[in-house]
Amino acid sequence: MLSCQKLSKSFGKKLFSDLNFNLDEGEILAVVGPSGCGKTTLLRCICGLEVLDSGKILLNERDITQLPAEERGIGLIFQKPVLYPHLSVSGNLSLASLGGHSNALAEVGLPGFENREVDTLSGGEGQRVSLARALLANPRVLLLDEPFSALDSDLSIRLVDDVRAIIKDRKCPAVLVTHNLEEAKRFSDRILDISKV
Amino acid sequence: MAEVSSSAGIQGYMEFSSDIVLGASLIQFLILLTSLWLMSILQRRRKVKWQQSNEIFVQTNNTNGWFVLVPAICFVILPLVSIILGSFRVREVRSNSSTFIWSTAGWSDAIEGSYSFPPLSEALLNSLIYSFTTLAVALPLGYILASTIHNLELKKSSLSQILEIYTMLPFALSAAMIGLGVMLGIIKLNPSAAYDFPLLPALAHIIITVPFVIRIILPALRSLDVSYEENARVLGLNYFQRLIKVKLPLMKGSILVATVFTLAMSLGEFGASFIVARNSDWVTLPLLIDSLRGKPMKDPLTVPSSNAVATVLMIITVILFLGVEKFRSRMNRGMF
Repeated sequence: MLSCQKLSKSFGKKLFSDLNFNLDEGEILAVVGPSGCGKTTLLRCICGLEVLDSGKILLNERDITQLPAEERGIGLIFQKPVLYPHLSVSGNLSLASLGGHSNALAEVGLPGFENREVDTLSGGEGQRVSLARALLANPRVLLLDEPFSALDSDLSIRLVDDVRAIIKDRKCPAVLVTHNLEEAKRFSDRILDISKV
Repeated sequence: MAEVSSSAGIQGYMEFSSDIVLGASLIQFLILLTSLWLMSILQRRRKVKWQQSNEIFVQTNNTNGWFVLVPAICFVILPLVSIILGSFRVREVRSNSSTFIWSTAGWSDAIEGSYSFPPLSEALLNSLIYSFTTLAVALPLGYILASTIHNLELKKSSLSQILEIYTMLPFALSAAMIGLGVMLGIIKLNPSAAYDFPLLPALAHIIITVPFVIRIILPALRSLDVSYEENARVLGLNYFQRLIKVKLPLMKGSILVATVFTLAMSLGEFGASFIVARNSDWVTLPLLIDSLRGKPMKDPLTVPSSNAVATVLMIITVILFLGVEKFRSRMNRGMF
């Protein structure tokens, strides 16, 4: 489904080169490695927020390497939840889809949160709303950039299990970036250590 | 340029044969560019919002502040109050002396107009038309330029600095020079437009206000968290959807401030309007004030009628600024 071929990127120093991996439907890949090794940059290149030095990204056999981020259909969940403060929870969800907010919120365990203001949400709730919004956009691939790192350990474990279940249920391929090997093992089907590529 | 300046085609008349004038102009221009460049650098360094003092502390525990605040308020308020009072004070001339009486005759004179001066309503309508025309062009133009400068900052910093300084040039020139430039430019393009294009003053106002819009919008763009834009992109929102649904609502405080500044500046603009509209019927409120003030002082309504027009202009701008200040405090954003 997602095929990354010979991806290379450098910012002054080489981050990764000739990186290859494939993702099948519903498969979850965890990318691990030390800080500064290019994990986040890899996700940003896949979703189109950064331009690759070389390489090719295929999604369902279609080359999307040159497409802008808004046309790729790849969702990204940031390390800290990016919620728009001028909109309510429902308003934030409406950026992805005009309907289905109640079901999306119920799916991430936040039923009845439609009218809440985003500044009243806890870190975990905010990340769940981000997930609901990303899923509402019906991404063909979901990228997660250390979304559990800012949460306390109990909440993090619970959210890891919940998000994994949702992704598996939707059969949406996903890539998780993390520096936590335990989290990677718990969340993913496969682990890629980018520093050893 | 210096060789032919102001010669009016007469040999030797007002003609400067030395290059000193040209050289001095170049030096002045270089000083101006350097000042604008320094201003641009300083503003870039002040991207971080500094907490200068606690607002509650200032309001409750800073009694010494009143020693500054009270004279400052008097300095600002008293001249304005004197204009309002002056609009109701009419000089009454008797055989050997004159006294002042309270009267609304000045207001009646301004409202009714005369053969020489248009009525207040006409000047007010002209001013409103010019200010809203200015707003309709200057705000989007200022936003586009600020956005371009901001985007260039992320890619080519030197080019963004050049563009920023270039867009600030009208900011550093006198309004009369801008009015003269507009007049000369329009005469070159289409001489009759100087007399039959009624929106000509708005053109000068646009040139004057665009740098102010940029100065208000640019810091707001710089302070926007880039992840808001990136997140909207991965959600599939195109450029205009991101602009309407994300950027503009997040910047609405600054946009409101820019709107009010543009309206107020255009309403009160005198220098450029005087040059551009002096030979026309397009009289604005400041031009009407000047015209009424220019009447012979033996007419007892000269001062009160001009003060009446000034009071109307003042009330409109005060309402605009009070509105924006109320909104700004509620939003706690928007800067200049």
